[in-house]
Parts: sequence; structure tokens; C-alpha cells
Amino acid sequence: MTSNADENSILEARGLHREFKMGGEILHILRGVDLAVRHREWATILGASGSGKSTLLHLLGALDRPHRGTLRFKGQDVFSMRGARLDRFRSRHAGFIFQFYHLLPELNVLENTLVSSMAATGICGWLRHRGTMRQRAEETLAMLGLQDRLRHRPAKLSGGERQRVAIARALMNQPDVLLADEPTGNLDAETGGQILDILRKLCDAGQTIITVTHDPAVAEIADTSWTLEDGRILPSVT
Amino acid sequence: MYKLLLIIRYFQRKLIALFALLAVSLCTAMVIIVISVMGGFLDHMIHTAQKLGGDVVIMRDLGGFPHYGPLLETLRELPEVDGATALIRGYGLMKLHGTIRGADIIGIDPAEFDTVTDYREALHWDNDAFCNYFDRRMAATAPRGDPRLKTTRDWFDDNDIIDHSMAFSIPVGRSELPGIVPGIAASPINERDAEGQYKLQHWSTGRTATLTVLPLTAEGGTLNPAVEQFTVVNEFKSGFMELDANVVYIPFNVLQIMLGMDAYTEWDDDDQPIGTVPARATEIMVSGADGIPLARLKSVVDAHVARFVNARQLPPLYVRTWLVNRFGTLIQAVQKEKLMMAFLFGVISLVAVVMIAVIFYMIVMDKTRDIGVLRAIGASRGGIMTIFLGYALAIGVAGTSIGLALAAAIVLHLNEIQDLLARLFNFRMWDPRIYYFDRIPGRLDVHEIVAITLCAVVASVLGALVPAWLASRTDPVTSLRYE
Repeated sequence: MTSNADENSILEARGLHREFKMGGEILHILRGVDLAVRHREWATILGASGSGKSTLLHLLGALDRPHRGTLRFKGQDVFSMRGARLDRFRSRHAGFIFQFYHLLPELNVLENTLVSSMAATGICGWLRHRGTMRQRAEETLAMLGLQDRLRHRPAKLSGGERQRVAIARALMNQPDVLLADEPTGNLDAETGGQILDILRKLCDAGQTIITVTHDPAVAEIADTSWTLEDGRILPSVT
Repeated sequence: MYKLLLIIRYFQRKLIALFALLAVSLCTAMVIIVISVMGGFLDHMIHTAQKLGGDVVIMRDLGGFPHYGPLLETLRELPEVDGATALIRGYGLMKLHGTIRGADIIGIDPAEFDTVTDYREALHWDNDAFCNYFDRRMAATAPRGDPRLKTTRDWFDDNDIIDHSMAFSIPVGRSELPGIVPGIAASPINERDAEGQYKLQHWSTGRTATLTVLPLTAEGGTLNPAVEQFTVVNEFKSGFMELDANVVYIPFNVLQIMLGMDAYTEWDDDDQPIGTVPARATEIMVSGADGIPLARLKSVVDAHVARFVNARQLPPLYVRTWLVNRFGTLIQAVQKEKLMMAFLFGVISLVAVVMIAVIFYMIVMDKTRDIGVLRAIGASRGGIMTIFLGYALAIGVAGTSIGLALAAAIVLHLNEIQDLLARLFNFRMWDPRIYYFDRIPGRLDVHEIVAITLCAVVASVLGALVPAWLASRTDPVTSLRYE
């Protein structure tokens, strides 16, 4: 197994296979991926465009299901869960950050940040803890330098600001793992560097992060880097 | 909670939803307006038809039945009965203003008839009618005015011209002939102005009318036609064309004699009296006490009449409600037309359902990426579906509210709107000179409105059902790939 699998692993993937049907053809995107990520580790998966990085990230975040393989999260078999149970698991344990931010355009910055908490807690939980959640959202946004943009909608934000809102949204439920898909892919070098600094600080504070990217600069700042090639993880380079 | 937040934000900020809202509003308004106008028309028709029809009618045939007097007395003692009166109904010819036409001739005692119907209210020419006419005439001749008009107007202001005895004294002269009260549309010269009011200069009061009737024996045999002259003492307007164009009222005893229905002595070949054949009437009209349902009144009268008939060994009498007796077919036809209109407009409103389905499909396509994001942060398929169904519900509730307000504004001001259109475009859809109702009838019924608005809201949600389901089935991975 090409991984850091040990008792400190928060996430272990074994033999992940994923294929897609395109027309009459079957494309084997992942051909048996094994990896393990430790607590408080920033792991990066490098790969060329179309190598299956995003597919792998979606599997690791339980947003997709493999055709074969297992994923254990804190020892729990993730893919044994289905439906609403899996949705709840994902909302509480995984935080996604996307290349194109994927903020909801009708909601302002604060609402975009809070929506993940709302999805995780339900109406009763929200009504009981809305004050606390709101405070946490404002503090997180302030930490990310967005304290003056709470009422602004995404259309009024720069790329870097939108990505910071996406990070805040992902952090709201205090996930065990942050999953970032090309977090700097749509940003200029300077802004991208700022985002990477934020992620570094989060990791140093104890957040486990998994990023997928084609940018070697991200691999340099991460703790661990793997290369995804031909549907498999190559041995670790760090 | 995220669902509610997104429903509110989508409702506030998605322009395309305005089209769905507009569709729901207009369809709701359309159905409410049609139902309200048809319902008003029906209510008006029922009210006017019943005005001179009583609640329950006891009858046999045109030959009439005897002993109506004792039957009347016993009926009036029933607690369910408010009033009862005997009528004689016949058919014949009326000559008025040189024109001969067919007529339904009804003999009444005006005072008793007024206890069972709204007869007095239906008499058209009263003090107000005359005074209003003179006021308009005097305004037309202002500032000089016509002293003769004022003198006549003052007379009508000081004297009550409603006379139940049918012995009506009119300024133009006196008559010893019995009175006749024809329907206001029975006169060939009565004409309405642009506001639907009958022109006083064409009134028939004081004119002589000639009635010709064909008497029948108790066995149904015919006798020589009876001809009598009458003085028109007033005209009645029930608002129901069937009555106002065909019915004339004359005194009960006069018609009874004309039709040979009065009591008479039978003689044998030796000119010896055999006995007295009792007087006959063709109908007894009964009105129910307040709060007594029509069905219960009919049942009570039915039982009472059956006992009366059995006790005197008379031929059977038939008890009918006013609706079945005279205008049931017409009114039930209008009721069915109302239902049919509601059904048809409901079908047309399916267009709104389809439009909502199309709009929501477009919204779901537009929101594909957002759906993926929501799934990524933990929203369930059910939650996604709830967002769009809730969105449709919000559109339905808002749309029906706007539609209801629009419909109410139109229905309550229908005639003012027509008047405005007439002033601006010289176009009047409802000409009171032609249609029998002066004003377009319309009424808002709470039960109908609740039913229509509920259906509209449900239709709005149903329209979004398939798109909402499709949204819930959206693969988040595929949707997040779309850039």
C-alpha cells in the first residue's frame, strides 16, 4: 500500500476503482488507489489534467462511490453508509473547497458561510445554536480578513475573497478533513499564495488537509505529496 | 434551515420566477372572476325567480281543486308556515296598446300574495320612480323649469301610489274597471334608457287592457271564452324575464269568475237545486317560517296535504318546491353552465401548471452546480427536492394572493370598469337596454375562493414536482464538473 497507513491515520483508502461510461466506451479513471492520511497532515495529490484527481477527491469526501474499494474514516467504513446517513457523515466530517469556489450567488458572504452549518444541524439544532454558529462564522470570516464583507454577495467579491469564503464555509462544521480541489487553480500567483498560506496556518493549527492539484508549488508547501498517474498513486516523494 | 433560506433568496432574486408568479396570478384571477360573475348571475336569477314564486306550491292542474279555503286555514296554523295564499292560474290573450299577445294570467289577493312573496317590492312604479323621473325632466328644462312638472312631481311626493286593493287613483283620471298589473316587459312599448331604467313616458298605467281566457270545467271540458277589460294600475318588475314578459296579475275573484271556477249551484232538469259545486283554485302558494329549510317545509306541507286529501277523499294534490315547479330546468341549466365554466377554466389553467414545470426545469438546469455544492456540504436528496417544492409553494401562495386581490378588485368594480371602458372607447359589453340585469352581477363566495386558491397552490407545487425530483437526482459530481 502506497500510503502513510498507521494507527495515526484518519483516513485510509484501499483499492479504489472508479470507471465512467462515455458513449459506448468505459474509461477506467482509478485503477486501485491506496492511500492513508494522518491526523494534522497536509497531503497533496499531484496529477496532470484528466488524471482523475478530482474523482479521487470526491471519493475521499464520500461525494461519490467507487466501483470497488473501501474507505475507512477514523476506522469507520464510509461506503457502508447510504442515503441521508452518508449525507450527514459528509456534512460533519468533510469540508470541500473547489477550484471555482462554488458559492451560492443568491446568498451573501455570511449566509454562504452558515449554509454548511444549517445543512449539518437541521432546524431544531439551528434554532438552538444559531447564535453560536453565527458568532463562529463571523470569527472565521474575520480570521480570513472578510469582516467587512459579510453582507456582500459573491458577485461583488474578488477571486481570492470568494475562495476565502469557501474556506470559511468548509471550516464551519469543524470537519476532520478539508478537501481542496485545485484551491489556487483559478487565482493569480499572489492570491494563490495567500490561499496557500491560509491553508498552511490551518494545518499548523491542527487541521487535516487533502489537496489535489497540478501545481508543484502546492506540493512543496504540503507535508506529503503523491502523484496520481495512470489511475494509481505513485510512491510518496516526501 | 438552509432550505428555507434558499427558498426565500430564490424567491427574492430569481427574475424568471416572476413569470411563474404571473401565470399563477392571472389564472387564479381568471377562474375567480368567471366563477364570481356566473355565481352572481345565478344568485340573481334565483333571487328574482323566487321573488314572486313563494317557497312551496300545492297544485293539481288547470282545472283547479276545491276546498282550498279550509286547506289554507289549516296550513297557516302549521308552525313551519309563515304565510299561504290561493292563486288561480290561467292562460289567455292580452290586448294592450293595440297589440295582442299571449299571457300567463294569475289571479291573486294582493295583500295575501304579498305575505308569501315580494309582490309589493316588485311593483315598479312607485313614488321614487315618479319623483326621479320628474327630477330628470325638470333638470333638462332648467333653469326656467316647467311649473306643470313641478306640480305633478309634488303630488307624487305627497301621495303613496302603492295600492294593494288594485283600485288605484291616478291623476289622469279614475276607472271603474278592475285593476291589472302586467309584467313590465309585457307592454310592447316599454323601453329602457342607456342606464337600464324604464322610461316613464312609455308607462302603461291608466291604460285599458283586454284579457281573453278559456274557461275549463272541473273535468277539463272547455266553455265559451271569457273577455274582460281592466285598467293597468301598475307594472311589476321581478328582474326575471320569463315572468316580466309573460305574467299579468288580476284580482283573484275576477279571474275565478272568468274561468268559471267560482262556486255555483247545480240544478236538475226540473230546475231543482241539487247542490253547490264549491269554488276552485289552481294553486296554493306557501312561504316557510324563518330558518325552516326548504326540504323540511316541503315534507311538512306534503304530509299535511296528504292528510287533508285523504280526510275529504279528494283527488291527489301535488306539492312542489318553487325551484322544481317553475324554473328548475332553467336554473339548473345555469348551475351546470357555471360548473362547466369552472371546469373549462380549470383545464385552461393547466397551461399555468405546464408553464411552471417548464420554468422550474429551467431553474433546475441553471442551478445544477449549486445543487452539487449543496450535496457536497451535506444536503440530502430530499432536502434538494424540498427547496424547489418550497419555492413552488411560495410562488403559488404569492401568485394566488395577487390573483385573488386582482379578481376581487375587478369583481367588486366590474360595472365601474365597464362604465370606464364605455366612456373611453365607447364600448359597452353589457348593454342594460338589451340584457335584463341592469348591472353585471358578481359576488365573491368565500368557499369558492378558498377552493380555487387551494387548487392553484397545489397546481403550482405539482408543476414543480418533476423538476424538483430531477434536481434531487442530480449527480453532485457531474454537476460540479460543469463550469
